Amino acid sequence: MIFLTVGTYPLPFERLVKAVDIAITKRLIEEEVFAQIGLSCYRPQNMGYVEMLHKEDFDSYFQKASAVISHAGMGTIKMALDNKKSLLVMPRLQEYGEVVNDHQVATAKRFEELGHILVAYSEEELPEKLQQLKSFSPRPRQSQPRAVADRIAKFLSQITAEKQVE
Amino acid sequence: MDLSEKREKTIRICVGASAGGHMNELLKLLEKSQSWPHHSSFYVTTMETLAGKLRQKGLVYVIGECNRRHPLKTLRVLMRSLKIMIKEHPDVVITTGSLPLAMVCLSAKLIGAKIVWIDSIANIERFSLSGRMMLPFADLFLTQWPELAEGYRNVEYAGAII
Repeated sequence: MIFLTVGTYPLPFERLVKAVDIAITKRLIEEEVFAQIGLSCYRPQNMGYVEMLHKEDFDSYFQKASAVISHAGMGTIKMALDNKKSLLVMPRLQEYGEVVNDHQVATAKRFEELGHILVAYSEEELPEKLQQLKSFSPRPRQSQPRAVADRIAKFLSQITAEKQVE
Repeated sequence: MDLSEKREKTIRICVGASAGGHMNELLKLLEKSQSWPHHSSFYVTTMETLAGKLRQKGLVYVIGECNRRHPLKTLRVLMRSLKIMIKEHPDVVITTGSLPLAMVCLSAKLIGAKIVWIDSIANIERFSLSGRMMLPFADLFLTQWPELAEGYRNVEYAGAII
């Protein structure tokens, strides 16, 4: 099963829902697709969908999916990295009223460069990227939360020392 | 004061984040943190639904959401924050943002607290708006992208949380 989500962002993202629906009719996706379509008015013809899933159900679909298609929201990207899921994103664009600015393009580009995700910057790019998604293995993300926590700890010991001098 | 008492003297830490991605980053950070926060730390967030998870750790204040398009709401969050800061008097605020927590930082600064601002991983090309607002006030400003730390004397890259 492929899980399609447009995130919880409070604006519709019909372009992605529609493009994936069309891709199914063209047999570019062979697997079953289930979608969280958000505020989209477009009703998919070729996949199961709901407007919004509860967090637990969302997590369960996410875990079960063989791959995920979504908007380029940081929350979804983080989840894919944490769960080592293959993720194909299409950034929401300001010009279509899908988002208030084009920060999703920058997010998508950076994580694409790092080999963590695939990106379709438009509907036209989707077929090619869907093909790549079948064999895509995301590069695991190396993060350093411990180093950040330690840097803050060092700062805290400095101000603790200052306080004790007072 | 004898030595044992002196060792006991800890700083009061306020830890906070807005609901959503900012909170995810904060929780990941807390998961890996060993020496802080401690029993006398307290927490600030923006939505009641998220407070539950934090209440297991300690005292939690919910200040509500605000954004730059709603100056009145923002002002209300600032007033609430100020009340909390006067009451709790933290020595330091540690936050992953966003604007509501910037209001907490401003209030904390007014009562003389230090500020640790960790700009969200989502800000790739430049700091968040609230991050830019906090630049002159933060005592430790951390970015999660090394490129963004270049050109700022008071911005550091210590790693990425996500």
